[in-house]
Amino acid sequence: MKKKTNIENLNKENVFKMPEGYFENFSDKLMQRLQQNANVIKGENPTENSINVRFEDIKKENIFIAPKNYFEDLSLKINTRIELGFYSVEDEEQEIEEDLGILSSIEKKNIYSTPEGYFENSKVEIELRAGYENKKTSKTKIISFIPQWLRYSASVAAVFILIFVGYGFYKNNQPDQEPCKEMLCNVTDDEILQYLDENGIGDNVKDKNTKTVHESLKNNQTITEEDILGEIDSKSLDHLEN
Amino acid sequence: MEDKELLEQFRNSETRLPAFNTIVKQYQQKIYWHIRKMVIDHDDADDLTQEVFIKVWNKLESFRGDSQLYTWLYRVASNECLNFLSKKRKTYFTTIEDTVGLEMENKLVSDSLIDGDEIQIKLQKALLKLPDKQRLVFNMKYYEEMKYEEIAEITGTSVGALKASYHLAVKKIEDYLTID
Repeated sequence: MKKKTNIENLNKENVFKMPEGYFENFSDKLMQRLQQNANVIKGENPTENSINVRFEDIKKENIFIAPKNYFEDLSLKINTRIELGFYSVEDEEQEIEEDLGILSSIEKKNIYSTPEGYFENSKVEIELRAGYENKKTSKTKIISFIPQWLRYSASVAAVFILIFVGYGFYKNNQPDQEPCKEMLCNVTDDEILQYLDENGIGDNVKDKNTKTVHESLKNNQTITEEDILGEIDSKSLDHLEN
Repeated sequence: MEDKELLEQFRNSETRLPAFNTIVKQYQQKIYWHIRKMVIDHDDADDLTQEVFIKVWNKLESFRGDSQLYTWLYRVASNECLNFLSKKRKTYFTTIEDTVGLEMENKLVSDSLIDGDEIQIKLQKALLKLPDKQRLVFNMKYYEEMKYEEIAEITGTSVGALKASYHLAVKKIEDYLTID
């Protein structure tokens, strides 16, 4: 029969071994692994691969690079700008001195002169002139008693009158198409009666119209053109012409 | 050389230039990197750094010394950066997109004078999403490890407001870094 082993009597010794210096390097390895995980490309399940990256875990490295010898040249650049006066646009305290060349050797002298007392008199002259100009150009307000609408109406009426007169003048100057009408208008009643008597038209009334005209003349009634024209036949006209 | 001594030498016309050169040598790197982290592009940073030191040349004589010299220099540099970025945004005149931010983001990946791994580039991109002043505060606290009191002197903002600003910036950055 086998004897039962009492574990409480066993030596509590760790039988597992590990590489030398494992724990000394452990924290560095852990940080590296954390950083690598942050850079893992997203897979099908991003929540499994990505981790909440805190910026405290990110190395505080300056990612910006300055050009070679930049700081060695910077002092020189700044001093050059100050010497040459190349300041910023907002800086109005310093003036930029330009290299004037030959001009810098020439004395800055005003070669022009004015008559004696010019500036003393010119001031008075300018004031007088300014006063005169002010009067000349002063605008006075004109108040009209005629209402504006009335003035516009008068203008329109004048235009119409002109049109009417012009039309009338045009009509009057048109040549008459019926010479007989004009001739008849100029003939007086007495002349018509005389003509009728001389030609024996008045007594021997053959035409109703002639009788009408003759009687109308005697009775001083209104004679129409048709009445007169009806009485004067072609024979009478031929006789007159001969 | 102590600030007080430097200022005295600067105020003396005979020793003004050597004192100025000392100031430039002493602070040029700090000022440059402070500006560079804000504007990203080296040429822009170069221009602004020179502008800062030219202002120092013109205005240092009237500096009362009520703060440290480097605080005053940082204040000038910070204002130059903020004014530069503000002017640039006005030039683009767009409210739909942050064109200036996108331009700087592109420089992070294309500029040969930038060297960093993916996560560091991503961190810079996250910073570009912040308002300029918040980014400025973050850079001073995180990268330059300045005290809140020093940052308060430079920016003219209270310590409490700065702490709140920094805390919010950290939150925003962490959210951005979490997004894949």
